Amino acid sequence: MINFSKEVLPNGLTFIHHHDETTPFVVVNTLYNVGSKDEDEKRTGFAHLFEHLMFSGSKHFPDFDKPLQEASGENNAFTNNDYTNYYDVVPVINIEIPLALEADRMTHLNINKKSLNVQRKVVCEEFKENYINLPYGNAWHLLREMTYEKHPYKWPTIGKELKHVEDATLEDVQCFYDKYYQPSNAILVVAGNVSKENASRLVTTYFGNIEPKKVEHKTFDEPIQTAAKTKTVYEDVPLNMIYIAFKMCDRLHPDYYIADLISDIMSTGNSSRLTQRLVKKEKAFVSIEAYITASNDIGLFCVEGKIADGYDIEKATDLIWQELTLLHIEKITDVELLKCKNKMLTTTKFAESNLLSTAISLAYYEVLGNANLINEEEEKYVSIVTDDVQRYAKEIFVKEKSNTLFYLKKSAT
Amino acid sequence: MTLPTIQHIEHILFPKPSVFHFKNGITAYGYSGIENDILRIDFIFNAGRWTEKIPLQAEFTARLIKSGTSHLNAFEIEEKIDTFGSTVKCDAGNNTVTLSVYCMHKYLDETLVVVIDCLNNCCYHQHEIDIFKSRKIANLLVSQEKNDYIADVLFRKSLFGETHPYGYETTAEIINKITQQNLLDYFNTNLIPTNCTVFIAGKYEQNQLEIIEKHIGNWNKKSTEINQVSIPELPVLKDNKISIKKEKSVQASIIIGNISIQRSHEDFSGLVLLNTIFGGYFGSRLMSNIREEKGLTYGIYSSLSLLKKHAVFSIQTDTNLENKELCLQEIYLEIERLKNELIPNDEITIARNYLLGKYLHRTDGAFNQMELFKTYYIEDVNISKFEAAVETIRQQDALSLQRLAQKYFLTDKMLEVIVG
Repeated sequence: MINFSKEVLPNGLTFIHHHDETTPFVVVNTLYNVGSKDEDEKRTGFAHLFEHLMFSGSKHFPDFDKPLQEASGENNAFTNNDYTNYYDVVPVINIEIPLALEADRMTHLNINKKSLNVQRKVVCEEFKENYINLPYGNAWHLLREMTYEKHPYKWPTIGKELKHVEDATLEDVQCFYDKYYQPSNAILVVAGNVSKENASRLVTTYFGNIEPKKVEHKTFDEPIQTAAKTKTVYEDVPLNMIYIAFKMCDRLHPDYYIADLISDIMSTGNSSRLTQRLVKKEKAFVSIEAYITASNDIGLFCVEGKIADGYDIEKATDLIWQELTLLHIEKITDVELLKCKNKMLTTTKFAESNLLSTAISLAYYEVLGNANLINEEEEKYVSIVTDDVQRYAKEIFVKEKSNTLFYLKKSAT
Repeated sequence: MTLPTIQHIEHILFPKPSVFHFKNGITAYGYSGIENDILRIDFIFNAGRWTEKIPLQAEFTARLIKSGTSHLNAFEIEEKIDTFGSTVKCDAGNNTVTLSVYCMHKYLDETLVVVIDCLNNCCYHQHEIDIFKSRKIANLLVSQEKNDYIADVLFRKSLFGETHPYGYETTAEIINKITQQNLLDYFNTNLIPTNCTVFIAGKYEQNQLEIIEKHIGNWNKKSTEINQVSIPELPVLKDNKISIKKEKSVQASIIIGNISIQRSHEDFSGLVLLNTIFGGYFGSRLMSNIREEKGLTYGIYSSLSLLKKHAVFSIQTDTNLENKELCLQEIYLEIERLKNELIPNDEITIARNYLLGKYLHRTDGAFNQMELFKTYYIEDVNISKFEAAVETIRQQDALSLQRLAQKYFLTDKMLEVIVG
């Protein structure tokens, strides 16, 4: 159980406080409700590039990192399809340092040619390091492109191609900043050894005077898929891989938890179905897992496996389908259900003991619409029964709704 | 708007752990204070690569600890652990073999029954060994496609020598050679109570301690053999520069480094601060120059990694291929600058405060406290030295740091590996 309180400042900034008296630290976490789904299809990768530029300094503080480091702090940020999150962890004696810095870069970011030039290069190197110079590195580029027809989830956060990042202009940066980096589009979490009254007073001091501005959000459609899609690529990789993706419900739908539980039954823990049957018994795969993307809008349920050297690809694919359709005909066992629930409880209890992860989760749940989901999700998961699993498996694991990527080694041609 | 005054961390105090002596001779250390009913229990064995007689013996023995006992087969073991919602991991590194248990209080008793059964009776069924081997070889094939992996293998091989426990390369050949008897031998000689220390962190009261003592205190496996190993001498570096070209690479992986000093050395804490300034954090000279100024890389770091018998200082990065030479030149330039110029005081203050924040974090909460205590324990350094280390870091100044750079950043003794 995580205690917290929430208030909305007159300028629209949502402020959440979580008190933990056992730590000498405080976390200041700022989440902006903007991600790669808000980008133009012809200029992707921008939300993430912009995240890099947020460290360029601001009007009153020419350097963002240095004062935080001098304040014995640690900071970083990440971007995904849905949102951009910045966190600062400092000893509580220095609580005002991140608040001053975050408030200043919310309104007075130092947008300049030099840092854009450098960060474009840095992000291109990040792109190469993680998506080009790595075996299977572009698999998710291909899978998203194939699976989503209209929704901007069809490109990854790093961007569709290097060129989009290279072409970003200073005007793009200014425009994006003005449009999305506004108090009403942000959630500020202050978590740690500071009382609610003190935190609230400081947040009002630093953020209260920021001018309000309305932020518009687009909504996105995605048609229901009616025919199976397949793509095969041949690359310099040592083993054949298969990815099968299905569109699933959005993050707030009650069925989300069922999809989560199904992925756990399939591959969480060494006694799970795919690991035991397809890796250890059948030896068709050397590794295989099922997972969900947990996106705010229509997410993906994905199964990905590395096929054992020499094992027939078609046969391996059939084995995955056998496991998926088995969920249509046979109910999962009570032991499987208990396993998933106990695993989830243990994971939650360990996560709750981590201050930074608690602060980020509070901001994330709030952007979904309800910070108290941090305490409510356990119950939603625990209340799932075996019939739910069967019903939802029948709904999503259908051939016509599948998207299969065969990522094969060149010598197999 | 002006920046509020920055406060400096005054005291970093590290609490001592509770100590428990079990009747089988095992010592357990404990840190409590977490709110939730959870525990992490680590069994640390004084073993690892440096006690191997055959390459990969430690890793195989550790990773297959749940491969079946005389009572339960591998699936039954995994199913029980999963049903309790617990996690049991065992792995071997350079310094130790570690078995970690994560569980909720309500399944502590049942989880430990399974763990002790594995530690007493693991049979290492051939079938499980075979599956593990084929998965290991498959993963190796994928790793061998990665430049940073290849660079790391070459670096360790050249620095320590091909037959040294820290230097040998994992190959399909040595994976295939491992036998069931190799694993049973390592298991019976190394994974025994007299070679084990236990670390308990999370939340516990008398009730949990009794359960822990009931299982761990009654674990009585004995060995007839005494573990004797000899570690080869370090080779003299034949070739200081190794460069491998890889077709189709768009980046090059670079590792530069040398053998360094261990925690027990009087210069160690000063060197930690010097490393921080050089390449140990986001504000370091390497990051500021090579990433933030020139945009040649996504990240560049230097680090001191501590092994049981040695320590290694290294600089690592993946850099833009066209500017590989410029990147190398700037790395060496930054080393020379530290030796030839005094570091400005404000730069020292920033790095020192940052580092003290890291040290404060290590004392925050039972899990971090246990991690820190364990690190010192494994390296055989008394935990009371932690507060002294903090003091040493506070006392460093531009002159002492320059002296350390001149003494330890010896480029002619460094090995340089480039893959890409």
